[in-house]
Amino acid sequence: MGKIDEQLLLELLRLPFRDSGERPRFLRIQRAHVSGVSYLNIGDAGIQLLKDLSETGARVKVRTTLNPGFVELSAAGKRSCDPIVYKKQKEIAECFLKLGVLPTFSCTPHFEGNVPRRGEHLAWAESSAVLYSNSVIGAWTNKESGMGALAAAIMGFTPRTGVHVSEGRKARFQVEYTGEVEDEVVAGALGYLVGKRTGDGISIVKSNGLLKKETTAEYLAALGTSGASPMAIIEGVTPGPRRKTRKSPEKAEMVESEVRELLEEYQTNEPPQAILIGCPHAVFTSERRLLDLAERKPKLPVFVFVSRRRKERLTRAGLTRKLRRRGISVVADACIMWCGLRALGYEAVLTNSVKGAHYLRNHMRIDVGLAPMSELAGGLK
Amino acid sequence: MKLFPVKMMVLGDARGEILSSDEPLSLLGGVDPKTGAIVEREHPLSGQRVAGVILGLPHSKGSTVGSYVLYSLSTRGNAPSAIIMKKADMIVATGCVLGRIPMATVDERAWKELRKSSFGELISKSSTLALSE
Repeated sequence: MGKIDEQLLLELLRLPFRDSGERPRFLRIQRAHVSGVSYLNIGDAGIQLLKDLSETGARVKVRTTLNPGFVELSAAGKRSCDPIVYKKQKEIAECFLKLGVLPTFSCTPHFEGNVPRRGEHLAWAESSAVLYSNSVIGAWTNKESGMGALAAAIMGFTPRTGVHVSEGRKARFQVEYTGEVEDEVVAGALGYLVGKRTGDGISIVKSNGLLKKETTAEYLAALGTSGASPMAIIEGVTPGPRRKTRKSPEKAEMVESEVRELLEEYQTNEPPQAILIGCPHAVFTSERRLLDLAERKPKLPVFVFVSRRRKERLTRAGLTRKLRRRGISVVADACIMWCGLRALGYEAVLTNSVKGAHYLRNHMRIDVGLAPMSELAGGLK
Repeated sequence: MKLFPVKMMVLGDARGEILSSDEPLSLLGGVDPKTGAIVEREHPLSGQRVAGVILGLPHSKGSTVGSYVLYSLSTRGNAPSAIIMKKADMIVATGCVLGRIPMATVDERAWKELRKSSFGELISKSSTLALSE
């Protein structure tokens, strides 16, 4: 079998045109963000591919950031994980470094590390970052696979298809929802149901409860969990042309009782053993909110998942240790699907993220309960 | 031999035994990335090996990491000689590009014939699939 070379990467970028039969057209990209980092997800087959690719001497041509992995790559992280898993995750990180990818280990590059501007074309993997960049910032990116984003980063261009074209950014579904969106958990549940209903089609929704950055982000993250669309329009949030829908959009009616049912499904059978915050990474949990949480002396251990840079800042300010003494651990480099949960033997946890709850339950087989930050923080549950 | 037009997604020729199913297969977890054995227990093809065969699947399912599994099989010489699908599936197509495995999609008529066939030949240049029982 031959080596991976630019010809092969170009062939990857041509795939959508082979399918559609159209003449291949490409666009220069300004930024890239790659997923497929966690050892839990890519396994040994993924390591093998990344090694082979990094050994060809290929380098990314644009600013490219990295999604979180399965492990915190620090001395503390080493203690909290299986040593083999730690070693594998380190190997993965080294391959990406060799390719020129910045070791940000963050799923929120759009807030820090790789902030896109409106109108820029990107090749982003990580569905929540894709949805936020298209729908809130007004940048243009399809929902790439980890390999698709990496190939585009190395080549410097991406296929001109999907939401890279104005016509591809119009809503096919008009969401009708009359219920309230009181907090981030309800926003997530609504997003999950909309994603399930609309599949790979773009939807448009209007709700005052989705106008806050935090509820917007949770809505979009959950929508990307159940749906395949790279964009979901929120009136009053999404920039762009005045007409945002196709000529006659289909109605997608969402019922409040279904939202409640979904939330009721997420209750733990056994008493929860920990509180997990930060899926996507906890950018809205400010220093102030973390300290408030500490003041209230949570009854369960709390884990807050953040980017590497955020943890470095918290540590420099002396907050990592201070929080730790109150039972709040700040975890960097990792996603909420973190190796430490296994090492600690947790079987039931609480979170305020619908996306996180979905993956913890289905991918890590952990029993999950959902509650908004305001309730989690009070230690009421 | 009956001839059918195909849409070539990943160029290349193949000739050999056909292994096919109407049941989608999860590449991650469903196929051993080293040996090519189908290990998804409930799958009708469970226990068979994908190595060297023309593999016919309607589409894949599950994780995007399926692409890496195809690559891994290919580096060990245990990849299918070609993959024929009903629907272009980017997870499989990505894996086929990386692993240099020819891949094509077919229409319903060709799919039905493929399901009955035990031997096939994929000819990239003319975008043709030849099938025989």
